[in-house]
Amino acid sequence: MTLGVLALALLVTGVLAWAAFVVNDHNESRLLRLKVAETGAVFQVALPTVETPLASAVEVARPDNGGAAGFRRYMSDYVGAKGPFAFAALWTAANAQPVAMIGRSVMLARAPARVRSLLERAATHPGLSLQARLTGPQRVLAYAYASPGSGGGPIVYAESALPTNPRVRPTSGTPFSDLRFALYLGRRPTAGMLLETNAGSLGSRTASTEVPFGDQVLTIVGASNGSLGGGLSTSLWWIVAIAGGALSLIAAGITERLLRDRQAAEILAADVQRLLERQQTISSALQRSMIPRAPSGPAYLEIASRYLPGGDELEIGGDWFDVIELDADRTFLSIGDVSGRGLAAGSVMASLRAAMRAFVSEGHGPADLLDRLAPMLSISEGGRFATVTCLVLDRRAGLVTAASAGHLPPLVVRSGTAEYLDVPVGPPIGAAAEPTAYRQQVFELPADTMILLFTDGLVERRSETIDDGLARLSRIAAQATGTVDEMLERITTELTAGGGEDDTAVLGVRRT
Amino acid sequence: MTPDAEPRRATFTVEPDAQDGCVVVVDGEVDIASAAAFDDAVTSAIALSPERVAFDLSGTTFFDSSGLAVLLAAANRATTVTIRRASAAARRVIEVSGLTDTLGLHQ
Repeated sequence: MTLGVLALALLVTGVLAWAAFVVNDHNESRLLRLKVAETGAVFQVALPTVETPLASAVEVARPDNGGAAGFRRYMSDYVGAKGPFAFAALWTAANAQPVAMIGRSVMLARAPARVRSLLERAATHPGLSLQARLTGPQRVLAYAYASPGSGGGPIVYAESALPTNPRVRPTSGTPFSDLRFALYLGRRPTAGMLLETNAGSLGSRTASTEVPFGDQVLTIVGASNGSLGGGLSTSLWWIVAIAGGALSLIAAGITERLLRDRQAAEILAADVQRLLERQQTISSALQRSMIPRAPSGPAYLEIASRYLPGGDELEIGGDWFDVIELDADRTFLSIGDVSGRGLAAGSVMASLRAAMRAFVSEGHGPADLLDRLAPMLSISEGGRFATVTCLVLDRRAGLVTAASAGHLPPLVVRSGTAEYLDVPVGPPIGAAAEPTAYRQQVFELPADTMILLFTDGLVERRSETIDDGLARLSRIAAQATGTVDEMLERITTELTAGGGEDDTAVLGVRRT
Repeated sequence: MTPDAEPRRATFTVEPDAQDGCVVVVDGEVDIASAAAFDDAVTSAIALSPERVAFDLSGTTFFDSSGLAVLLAAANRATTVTIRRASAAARRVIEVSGLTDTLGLHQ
């Protein structure tokens, strides 16, 4: 991903930089061509300074004008240190001797054959003809001029001395100051034909133009001295490259960072998820361990129980029941419900049950036991309270002693009848700020009577009062027959047909 | 039917009252799903009137131990808690839980 972003950004940068480079390159070439053409035009304007005096000298030297004397007089102003020429001579015919000479000739001394061929060329081609000696210590450019339309007329010959070294110092403030150029005689820019240059070498980007000069051509080859389009134009491509490259790296860095952040977040989320699942596993295992098991009791009691989880099976309610054998004839029974759900409610329930077992083993009766249980829980501390019913069943006496801390009354079922025991009810454990003295009451318990203990999940329904639920329970319980287990099956099936929302604990005990 | 199926099953209104300082009017079903909102209403009522808080449960159609826990917590925080009126549904739950005195339910 990061490498992809980097590659794409670098590709875009590369294309942009390349485009900037190409545009600049085209621009530079075009500007250079213009510059060199402009330079050629300037040269062209300068050439008459050579041609004009020679043309005039031919007119002056005609026999009907000044002749050789007139020629000498006229040319003396142009030959020497102040004039363009180092030597001038007048021929009446190409194959004769000169009739007048001013200055000192290099060509006549060193290359007379070339002078001869130049004069012959001038005789047949009127106007300006050129010859050059461009190698060796004394470099010379020679001119010959014959008047047009006057065959056999005088021929003016002149020589300009060229500097030994064709390399001249670049001069500033001229149109050529930002141009490196080389000036060649003829069409081919070879070292042997170099007249003048202002640079050692021109470099790779050059442009050339030709300027006619007499019967020859001058070739100007130019190269830009620096950028013609300006610094920004030249620098644009690498500015784009560097800035683009930097931006690409930044983009890649940001991408990398975002990817890492996301990866870290995903790892964290997975860890949290795993921890949650682990916690739920631990929590539900703990809670399952707290669900009261089917209790066993003495042989003279037939016992059955049900524990029905409510809507949310992940969290248990705080319901419990308990059967404790006190001695040969007496058995302790309890049922209770801690408010709320979940592990916290379950652990309150577990500690209340443990405390109750301890108090029972010390021989306390139901009301006494609730009095001792009451300080163990406070609504103002844990936000929880518990309802509890305690009974002590005495089979020899046929009596049951009961006390209630806000719990629903026990139902007594015997031969087709069912009625609730009117157990004195005190406030739930943990509900009252002031300590309360619980009361207990003794009821007769004939043989074959079933005591049904339950929590509110069995009878609570929306859209009706709890009395409606209690009435329905007693009606169904009265019709139930068979073993205690069969009776509980029918009761719980019919009362929780719609699926109870709350947890429900039911304990049935019958004296046989 | 899940408890979340109906969004507003219970409404709790806290009203200033000349006699009891503050009355919390409870309408609808109070169960484990709405107990937290009930507790919030009771907390603001006690903040308004720390000494006396009254409850009007005449519009309460369902009331279970979750609601009892909130009432009991209120009774432990405010000096005096009374229940002025109560529907049969709420009244019977309070009565079978042995809390008529603790919660000041009379008549």
